[in-house]
Amino acid sequence: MSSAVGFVTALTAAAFVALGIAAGIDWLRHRERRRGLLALSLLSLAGVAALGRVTMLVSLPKPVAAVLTDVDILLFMATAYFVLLFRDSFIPLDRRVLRIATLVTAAVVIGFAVVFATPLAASRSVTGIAGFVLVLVWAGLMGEPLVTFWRASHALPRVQRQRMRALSTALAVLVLILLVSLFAGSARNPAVDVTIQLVALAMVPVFWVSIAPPTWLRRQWRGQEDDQLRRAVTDLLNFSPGRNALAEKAITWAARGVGGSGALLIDSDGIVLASTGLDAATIEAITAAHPGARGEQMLTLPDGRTAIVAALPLDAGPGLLAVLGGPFTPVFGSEEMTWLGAYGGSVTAGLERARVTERLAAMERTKTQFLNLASHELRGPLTVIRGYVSMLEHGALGPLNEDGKRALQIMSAKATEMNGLVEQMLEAARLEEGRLELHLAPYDLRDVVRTSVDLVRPLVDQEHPITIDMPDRPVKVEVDMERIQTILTNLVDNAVKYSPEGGNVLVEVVNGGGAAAVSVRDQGVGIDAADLPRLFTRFGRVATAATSHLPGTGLGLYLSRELARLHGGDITVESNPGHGSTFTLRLPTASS
Amino acid sequence: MRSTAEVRNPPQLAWLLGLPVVASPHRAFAAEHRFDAGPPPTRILLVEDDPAIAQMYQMQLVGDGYKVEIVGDAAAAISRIREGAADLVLLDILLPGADGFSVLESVLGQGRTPVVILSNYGEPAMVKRGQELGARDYVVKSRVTPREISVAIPGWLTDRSP
Repeated sequence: MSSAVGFVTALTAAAFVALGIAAGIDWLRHRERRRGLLALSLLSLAGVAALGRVTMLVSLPKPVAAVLTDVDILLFMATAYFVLLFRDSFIPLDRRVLRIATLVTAAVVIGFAVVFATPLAASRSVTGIAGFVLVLVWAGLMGEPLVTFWRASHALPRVQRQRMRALSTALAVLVLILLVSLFAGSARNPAVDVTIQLVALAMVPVFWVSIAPPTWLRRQWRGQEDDQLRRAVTDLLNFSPGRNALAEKAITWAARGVGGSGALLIDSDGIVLASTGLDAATIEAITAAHPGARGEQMLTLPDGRTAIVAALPLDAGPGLLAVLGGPFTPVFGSEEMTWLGAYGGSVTAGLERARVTERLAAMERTKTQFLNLASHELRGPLTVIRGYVSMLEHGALGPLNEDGKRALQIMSAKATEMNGLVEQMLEAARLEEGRLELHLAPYDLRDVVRTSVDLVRPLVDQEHPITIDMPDRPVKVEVDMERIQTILTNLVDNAVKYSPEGGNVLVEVVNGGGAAAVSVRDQGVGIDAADLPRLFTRFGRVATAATSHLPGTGLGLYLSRELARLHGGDITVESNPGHGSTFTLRLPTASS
Repeated sequence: MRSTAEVRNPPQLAWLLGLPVVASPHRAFAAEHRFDAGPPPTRILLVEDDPAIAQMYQMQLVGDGYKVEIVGDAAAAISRIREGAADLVLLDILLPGADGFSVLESVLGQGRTPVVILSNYGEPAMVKRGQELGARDYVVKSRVTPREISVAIPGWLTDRSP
């Protein structure tokens, strides 16, 4: 049994030595202060383990053994003290607390050296008390950081959280082992010894995981956040309202994704779109190291921290997405770089989409403003033209000869037409700016249809007889009378306009199933099936050889359908090229 | 047109614009020179910065027997209204400098001169604002003929509710 104890003890010591060396090498590779503190702690631990084995295996001359004991004590306290310093670098301690901790550590080490240099060392009770004090102080120095780490880990991204918890767990187990050894005293049996050694041995990989978790483990930790991340990417690409909002989301997820403590997003003009967890100096340092137009790279900042920087190939020039490592994210490897590069692709796509959307929205606004302004500016001259035309018509400006009267008639019709177009443009602008308000009131749809047709009839020649077919009972609707008239006059006007050879125009009102329908059927040129989708779009006027000479803004049908939809209805069309079209306005009927 | 002194005399304004004085000189003369019979002509203050529109309305209104004074900006309009120089104000909204609403704000509650807005901006928000400021009516110029305005004036003069 004792050989088993010896073997396990040796194995554990060797493992801790290996861990210390590995931590030291890791520090040499990265040379970061905080990582260095942790490495020093683990190296001290390795030293304690090694010395423990040496003093146990080799019988040394007394003075050498005494010196080695002092060194052992020093290293032992150093393990805890460096952990405390590491904690301080991560979450700063009160300076006074740190000073007291330093003094106590020094006092314990010196006290021990003094006690062991004097005959007091022979007294079992003195060494016992000294050992008790030593372990308690050590446990205190270790205990505070491990509790702090555990508590701080909650708020961290998964990779950081797991690493912090690993460190916390390993430290806690070490503290527990020492306390158990202390209180169990010499009453140990070999089975307990083996168990304790095995538990300590098990902590070596846990320590290592906290310093440098292997790629597969990092990926696994991250994997649990992947679903969330996928949603975030979708959100980034589809639903972000603007570039800044998108940038905020992008950096949060970039930091989470690779387990970084801070992140930064810079656009092609070098403007910081968003940053988190970074001070101005760090932002400047990362910006200064702006990489080329493509790819990812690892940066080491002046303070030793590392960052991964991914170039974003934005249209306007390369932007930059950077993630900075923190105390628990010192390891950035090719895995993280690849991930950030891929994620950067999504961010680029999202940013470009947001930029295009913003630009389109701005263009749309400008266009609507122009439509609005132009229409109002056109109203001025129109007022004068129509005003004088009407005064001429009423003879207020003196008599006209017959040619003058004919000319005046044409001018009047054209001015009215122009006025109609301006009104359409204004209505379209109102609609697009969301300023269009319906003035709903109950009507009999038959009356609305009748008055609308009456409005158009005087303007229509005899080649286009208009027939109305309506039910006998009232068709109750709640509508904006003026707007429905606009729709119907537009539909009838179109029916006439696009039947250049003449022909009947049939207006039919049908009521049933909670909805009413007004269809306007002509025998005109019809519309090609390929042109139908464009028919109701803004300025989507279909120009064919037969119709291109006819005036129109292409706003009429667009407006009509939008107005119908504002009423909770719609306009549909069926057409047979060469034989005519039927436009149908559907409106919900009023319940009572 | 720029100076009130010039434009208060309609024939002089017309001359400045290089247009015929009035369409029906005899009617205009009768309106301007009713020395003996009937009440004095209704005085209309036309606040309009577009000379072509001002000229046209003036021609129609003078022809229909009204006395028309034209001013081209808000400040002149306010001072003339305060002087009690008008029985009815036809007020454009878009003016050089301060707009027509500022005229309404300035004369709000002072006297009872009815004001009718004549503008080519007829968006609901503007109509609402005009009504809130006490305008008797809000007319979109391009939608009405000068004759229709002339015909509506008696109604505007008698209807006391804004």
